[in-house]
Amino acid sequence: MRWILLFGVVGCGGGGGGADAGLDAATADPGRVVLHRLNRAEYNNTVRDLFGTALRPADRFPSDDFGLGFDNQAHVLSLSPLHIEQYDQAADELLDELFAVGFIPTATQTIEAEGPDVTADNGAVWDLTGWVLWTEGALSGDVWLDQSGDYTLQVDAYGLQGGDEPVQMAVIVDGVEVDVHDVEAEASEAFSARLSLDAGMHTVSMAFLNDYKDPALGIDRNLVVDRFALTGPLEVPRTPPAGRGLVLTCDPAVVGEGVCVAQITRDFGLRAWRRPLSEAEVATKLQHYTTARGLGGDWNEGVRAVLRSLLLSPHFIYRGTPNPLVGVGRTLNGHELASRLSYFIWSSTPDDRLLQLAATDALTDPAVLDAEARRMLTDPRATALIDNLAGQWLGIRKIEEAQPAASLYPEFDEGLRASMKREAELFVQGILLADRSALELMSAPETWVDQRLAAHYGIAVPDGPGMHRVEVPDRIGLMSKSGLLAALSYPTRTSPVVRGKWVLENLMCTPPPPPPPGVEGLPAQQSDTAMSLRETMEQHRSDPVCAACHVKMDAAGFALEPFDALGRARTLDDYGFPIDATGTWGEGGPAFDGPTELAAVLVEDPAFPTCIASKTFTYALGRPPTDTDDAFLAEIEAAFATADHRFTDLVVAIVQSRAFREQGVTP
Amino acid sequence: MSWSRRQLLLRGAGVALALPVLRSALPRASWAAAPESAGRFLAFYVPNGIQMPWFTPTTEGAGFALPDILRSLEGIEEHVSVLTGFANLQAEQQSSGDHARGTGSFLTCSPIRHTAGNDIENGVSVDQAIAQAKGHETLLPSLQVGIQPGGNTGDCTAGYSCAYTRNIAWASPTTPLPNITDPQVLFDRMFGVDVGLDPDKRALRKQLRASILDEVATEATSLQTRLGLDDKAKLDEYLTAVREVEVRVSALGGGGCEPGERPPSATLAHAEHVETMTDLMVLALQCDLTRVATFMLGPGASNQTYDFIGVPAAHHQISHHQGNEKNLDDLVRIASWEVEQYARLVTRLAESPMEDGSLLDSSLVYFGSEISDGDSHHHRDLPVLLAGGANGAHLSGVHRRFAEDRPIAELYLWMLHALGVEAESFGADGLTPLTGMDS
Repeated sequence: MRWILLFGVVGCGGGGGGADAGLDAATADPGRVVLHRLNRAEYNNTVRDLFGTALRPADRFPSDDFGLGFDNQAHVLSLSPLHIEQYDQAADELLDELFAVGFIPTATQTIEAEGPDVTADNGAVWDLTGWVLWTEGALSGDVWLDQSGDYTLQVDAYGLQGGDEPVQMAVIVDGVEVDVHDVEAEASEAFSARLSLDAGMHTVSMAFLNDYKDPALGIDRNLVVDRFALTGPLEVPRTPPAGRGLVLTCDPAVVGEGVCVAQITRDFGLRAWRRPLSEAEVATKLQHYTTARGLGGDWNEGVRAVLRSLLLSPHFIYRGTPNPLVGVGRTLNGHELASRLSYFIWSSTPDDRLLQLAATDALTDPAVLDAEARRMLTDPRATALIDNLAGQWLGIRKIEEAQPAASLYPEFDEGLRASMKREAELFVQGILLADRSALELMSAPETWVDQRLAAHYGIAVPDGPGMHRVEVPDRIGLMSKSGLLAALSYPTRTSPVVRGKWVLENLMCTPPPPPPPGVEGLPAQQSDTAMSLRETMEQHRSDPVCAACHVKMDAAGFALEPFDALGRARTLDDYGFPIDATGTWGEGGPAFDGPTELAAVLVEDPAFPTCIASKTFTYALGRPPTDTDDAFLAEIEAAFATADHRFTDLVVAIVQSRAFREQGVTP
Repeated sequence: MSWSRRQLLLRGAGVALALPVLRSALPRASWAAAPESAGRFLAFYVPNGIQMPWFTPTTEGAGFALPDILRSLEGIEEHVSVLTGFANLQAEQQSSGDHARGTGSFLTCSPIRHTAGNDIENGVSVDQAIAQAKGHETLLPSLQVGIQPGGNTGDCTAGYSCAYTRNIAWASPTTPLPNITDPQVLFDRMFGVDVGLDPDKRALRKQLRASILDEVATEATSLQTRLGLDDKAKLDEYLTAVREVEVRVSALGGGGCEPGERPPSATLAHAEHVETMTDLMVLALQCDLTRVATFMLGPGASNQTYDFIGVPAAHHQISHHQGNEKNLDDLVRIASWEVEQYARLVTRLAESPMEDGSLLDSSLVYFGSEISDGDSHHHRDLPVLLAGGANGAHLSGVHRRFAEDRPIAELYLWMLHALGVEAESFGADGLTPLTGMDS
């Protein structure tokens, strides 16, 4: 296989990069992006802006195909029958809400009896999945409800029977007895009740009423609770979304039904398809209205049919610019440019202002383009760049996937995870969307903590709820963020290789090639004496075939060892040995000791700003840079450097580039 | 202790799929009226391999003692065969990426293309070969069910596209079929979303839906004529998808199965999630909504943790056990739990009565993984369990040992024949089907 043969010869990583003086940004081919399916985040944001809804139908769509580090790469995203069914269903859900049909969806909160969120008067975990009450007493859990309304409370329980009576259980809510049940089954049975509850905190208890033992006969009656769940609020009628008026732009009673549905078709069509519909297209869509009325449906059903057809159309599902069959490349028109801009900066559909500018082709004027991009970066929707670009490139989404072993790290729970994620988001946002150098991602001294995270870091706990800006000694830059460090560890220990590889891939854009076969995992401990992690991995450095790639990867990873698998500071590694966090950045390169010094070295590496530019380019266009893009990247990087590496200026430089504003012919 | 049938159903209930679904969904006559020769296929995939020393029975033939990992087959031994000696050499290469190759070719036995981009290439999987021949007989040609949707951060292994580790069902060499991982979504797929509407409205929506799908397909076709090749290919995907849904939609509204309560879309712990999804698959088979299904307990190289059975470390991580006893012990525990989930599913099918016999009698329920030993990424001596009678084509309850490195594609070829699908070969190396499987 290729990698093995080239291993020692080519060495490690090293992307294409770098400017090629031979190509000119004014004449180079701007490249092509294939028809671009909306991904899940884009779909959700788009319907949010089209309907003013809080619904997120795409949360149920299949996972997006993922390539080159992003889930928005046009050539990788595919479409299956499941997607079409889901789009259809999403349209139904959105239209139900628009016409205030039916009830709002219910939510269920489940508390497991064997889990951490309950208290009990007596007993123990039973059969891994339940809690047994040995004697009379209760198991309780608290649930927070956002809304008042009717709820279904379901308790799953069973009995360890004995004696004359079946096990008896009382269900108590907020101190008031709701039900008393005979729990006859010996395997989990459901007991339901419908309750009226206000928003706020509620305590649900399951009480064992009739303990009985007869040791002589070997009889012991006990109650086992599996879980309880609250579902609701039930049958709360929907209210139309905030954006109802944006979609139903006329009143049929005033202008006439036929006129109104045609107007709605044009208005919604323009916003949904991101361009005006032709008269022929409008006429085709209106056929659905006619059909619906002909089948006996009312005006609402007719409009629904039209809107649904607009949402299922390839013109909605795919954004992007159909490429000409033959001929040379072309400049994108106003609407195409508006769409690229808004999906880059907002991961959403163009707003009315962009559509207006698009209609007059004003967007093709560089001054207007510059102004619009800057306006969009200050809009709240620009946080999509943090959720999606930074979320993937800088590992913020990875924090969702961290799985520290509960037995070794009992202090980790979803609350801590949420705080860690928020810390990373605010940190990155505070640099990328502010008037600062993007290089500070590596070196900025501040971070954001709430009370939970402050305790986790062992620093003074701030007053009051929410996130507070603080500076923590020896924690600078992105690489010191606890959430990221936890995500880049194994469940039971840290991994310098995982951390080092991530740094190389995402911050330097020099991903190491895969390991040769047969070397995954640590070697079995050879000698009698236990070794530190660093000693165990010594082969990475002593064997020249390994060293080619591991020299930088391990150095970075070991420099981060002073942070444990939850990102806490420490001096001993997971095997109990003192940590050696020294290293050099490449053979004969600058030396460092620990994470702060590592950050100080990496921030000087020219690969870092090049990587920022390259990653953002890939995300912005939905395709990776190829060799012909070298000229554009050189131009973009120069503008980035001139602007003291402000991220907002990088965005503008990319948007102004011909690679963004034009569509070439070479695939 | 003898269990009443109701108690067994109760014991099997998952949290999201509360009891009402099972009670009221006792299948109607619809599936009992299915043609006698109808066969069912279900593939149950587990990631990261199985430790064969604790899986392989020491004797061949019937009446073998159950090794550690197979303990939960106690009580259903007659229904399950252990088949050993198979290899999937299409996945074997002297380079990294065994999980991508193994999982990618798990049901295709085709060499996969080494790419992380959009030019993925594989073969047609055995379940899709069955679905393409027989799937038109049921509402859903096939179902793809899973647990992990697959994160969208980090890469998949060794320069291979994530498509290879996340999917085992491939409708064509370039079309993987994504898994449904949300119980509510699976329920809706099985029973349709208009379930709650009054009949008039349902009929209206059904007709409108059909005409809308037809119109957008026309739209796509006319758009295609003006496009270059790669854009055309994208719209081809769209058109194929719309056409398939159109066929489904026109059939929807039939069936006689009572769906029961729609499960809430709650986040479930791993064990409950697996239970819920397997219950729904059994329901789909009982209601004859489909006769072909695949299930992925996790993606290839899954790093699922198993805290709830006392194994906190990540699965893929410890599958590189390096001979460490603790790791091996943990792996045996995980594998035992995986087989327990399979056993539960087989039991439920065995207890679903049909005209003469059970649903299991007309099925083949296949359990396997992309490799055997996880440390060496071994593509030989693969773990295989096979349950079900396939209408007499399969005699279960036996340990059959096949000649070393017998291509597993030949097991799949035999499966195709057993389920009434004509095929001369399967995959890259499936030329001679197995013989003697019925005795």
